[in-house]
Amino acid sequence: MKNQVQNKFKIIALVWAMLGVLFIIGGIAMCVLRDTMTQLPRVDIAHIGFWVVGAIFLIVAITVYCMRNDKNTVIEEKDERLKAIANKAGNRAYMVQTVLLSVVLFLLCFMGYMNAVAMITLMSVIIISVLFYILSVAIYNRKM
Amino acid sequence: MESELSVRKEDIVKNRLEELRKERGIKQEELAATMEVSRQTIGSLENGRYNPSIILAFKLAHYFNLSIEEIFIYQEDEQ
Repeated sequence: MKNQVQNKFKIIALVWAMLGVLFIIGGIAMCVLRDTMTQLPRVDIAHIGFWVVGAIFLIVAITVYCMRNDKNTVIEEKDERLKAIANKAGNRAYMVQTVLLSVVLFLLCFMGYMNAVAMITLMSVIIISVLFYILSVAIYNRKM
Repeated sequence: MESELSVRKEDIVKNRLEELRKERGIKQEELAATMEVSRQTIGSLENGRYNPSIILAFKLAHYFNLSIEEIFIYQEDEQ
């Protein structure tokens, strides 16, 4: 069981690391090709955004990889009470985040602080997460 | 506000975990390690702040060599 947990950590770390590397490569490409990407409003700093996201993903990968494979970690992974607490806290945080984000987005947009591209992109993210929630409910309804 | 994790007043499930554990001279840590849960979970079960899943209830019953009903007592609301 310990090996299974350790392998799971390694796979998750690998996925995060690959995403991080992809973003860093994307940032380098943007930096090199900045003269050709004139359609971006701030092409001079766009690559920095990609590097920061890549660095964050790499830090997450290292953190996950270094997670200890001792009995306490395994128990914390399996403990049903901790899972129940995490699920309930997560549900509440999701509801608060969805409602607040929607309200703030509309207010910022119609007060002129946000342009249409940012507004539509962020609203799409919210809509996708809500659709994902509905889909998950439907799947679990069938399973349980 | 009462936590949703805790036992609702109308659905009272009492248990004899603490009594059984002490009878056998087992520490919370030892029982937790055997059940593969945290010590805090055992503490919450003993205090009645958390009801276990049916799997954990069965594991506890097997561990103490008793039936689930001998450990967990469901009391229906009389109101």
